Amino acid sequence: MFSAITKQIPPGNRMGELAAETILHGIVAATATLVFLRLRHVHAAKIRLRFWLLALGCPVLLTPVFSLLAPFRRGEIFRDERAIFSGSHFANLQWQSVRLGVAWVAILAVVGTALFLRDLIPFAWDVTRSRAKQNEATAPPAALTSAVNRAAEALGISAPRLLVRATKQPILICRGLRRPTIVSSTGLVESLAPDELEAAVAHEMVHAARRDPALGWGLMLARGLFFFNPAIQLVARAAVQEIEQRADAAAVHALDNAQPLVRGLRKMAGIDPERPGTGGWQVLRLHAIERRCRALLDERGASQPTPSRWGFVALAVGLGVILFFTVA
Amino acid sequence: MGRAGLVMVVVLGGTALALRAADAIPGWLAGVPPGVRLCASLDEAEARTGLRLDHARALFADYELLADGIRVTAKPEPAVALAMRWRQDRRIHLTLFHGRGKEIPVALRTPLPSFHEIAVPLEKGRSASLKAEAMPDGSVWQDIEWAVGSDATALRFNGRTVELLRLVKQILEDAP
Repeated sequence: MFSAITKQIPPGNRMGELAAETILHGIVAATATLVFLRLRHVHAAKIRLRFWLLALGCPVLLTPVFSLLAPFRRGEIFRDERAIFSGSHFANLQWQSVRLGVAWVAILAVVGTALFLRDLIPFAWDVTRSRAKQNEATAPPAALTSAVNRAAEALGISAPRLLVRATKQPILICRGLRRPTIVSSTGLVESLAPDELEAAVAHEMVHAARRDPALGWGLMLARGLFFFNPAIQLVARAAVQEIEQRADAAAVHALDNAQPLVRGLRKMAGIDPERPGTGGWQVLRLHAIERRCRALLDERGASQPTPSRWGFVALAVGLGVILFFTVA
Repeated sequence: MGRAGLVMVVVLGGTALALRAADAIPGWLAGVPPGVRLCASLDEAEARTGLRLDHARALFADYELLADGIRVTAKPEPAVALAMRWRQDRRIHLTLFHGRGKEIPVALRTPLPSFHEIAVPLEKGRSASLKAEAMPDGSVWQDIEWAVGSDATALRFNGRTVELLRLVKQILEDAP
């Protein structure tokens, strides 16, 4: 009466499934990493950065590799009998004829896109504005040259290329993929005290020595490719924050005093310690800078035990296994 | 195991458990036991189980599928349950079970206490077992089960016995 058939469920939109899986894997990896860092009380920025890059690598690299090398994961037998989580099990959940699984992915994609645009638009605006002002370069003021030389000596590195703009706006940034350059402004030199200037310049010189601009562009590329993925957007932001804190820590370690950098950061951001709670679009950026200042003034970081290399490998392998058995 | 190992076990174990719990939510919401899956269509049920259900479609002239009425399981043998109701009187319900092996898996066909059982002769020397079963709400249903080759089929019905036997005859006649 009934006979066996070999028909398979239509594969559907593979790219859509892959996109949904990167979102799912991103959320799982980011959550597990966050919990791990909290439970282990990891405060050292360089260690935290490694773990955030691991969380980023899971959806960016591992998910496409799984999809390419293990297509059987999409089969119903794997989903029903092997997987610890399968998004297809939510396919029949509906509310008012809306498929909840699809709606959930769509909402997350909108959130991811909004997070990406929220950072992309100011970034693109800054790049456009700085290109327009490229011809306003001027000779470095003596105070800045002196600060660069003192910072280079303290860090034990050679001074990178310096570019100064004749503008009252305080600018201090390290840029350049192959040849990192520190871009500053006359306004910055006028607004910071000599020790604050030295600390701020030392921070940027650490970025230049570590080639952080290349890492920053890599993170931006991942964010652009996975613009729809909220986990990747948030993890990449966390990684950028750790890159900044890593440079802060190296600069303070070299100069042996956190106060000048904290004062300099607050001045450049326009944070008034007497009047906290600045509102508007800048509130998140100011919050991030204030967090960096608090981290610099917090002595706990140095006394906390940090996870060993084996801890990192164990988390990477464990996450890899869990994500292999997690299918969108 | 030190604190570092404990944290690792908590994080990875907690992640796996949380994913497992999330995976069970759709089944829990639909009241589906573990190992059983809801299907949106007969095509999906056929693809998941490898069973052909063309002859079940013949019943749809008189019966309509209930919402969440298609359930399948893969273990220990693939099987399907189709819950339907009579188009003329929606109080009359019918569930068709079909699967590989001698019996329909318990996860799909919940055993009920039977208080009467007789053997019913079918065509070509086959026979079926017809039981009167008491449902948890006190109502009495009839359940008939037979085997053809390596497949088992059963009908659970709350209508008249003569209609149940007509359905059995129809299914057997439609068989290749």
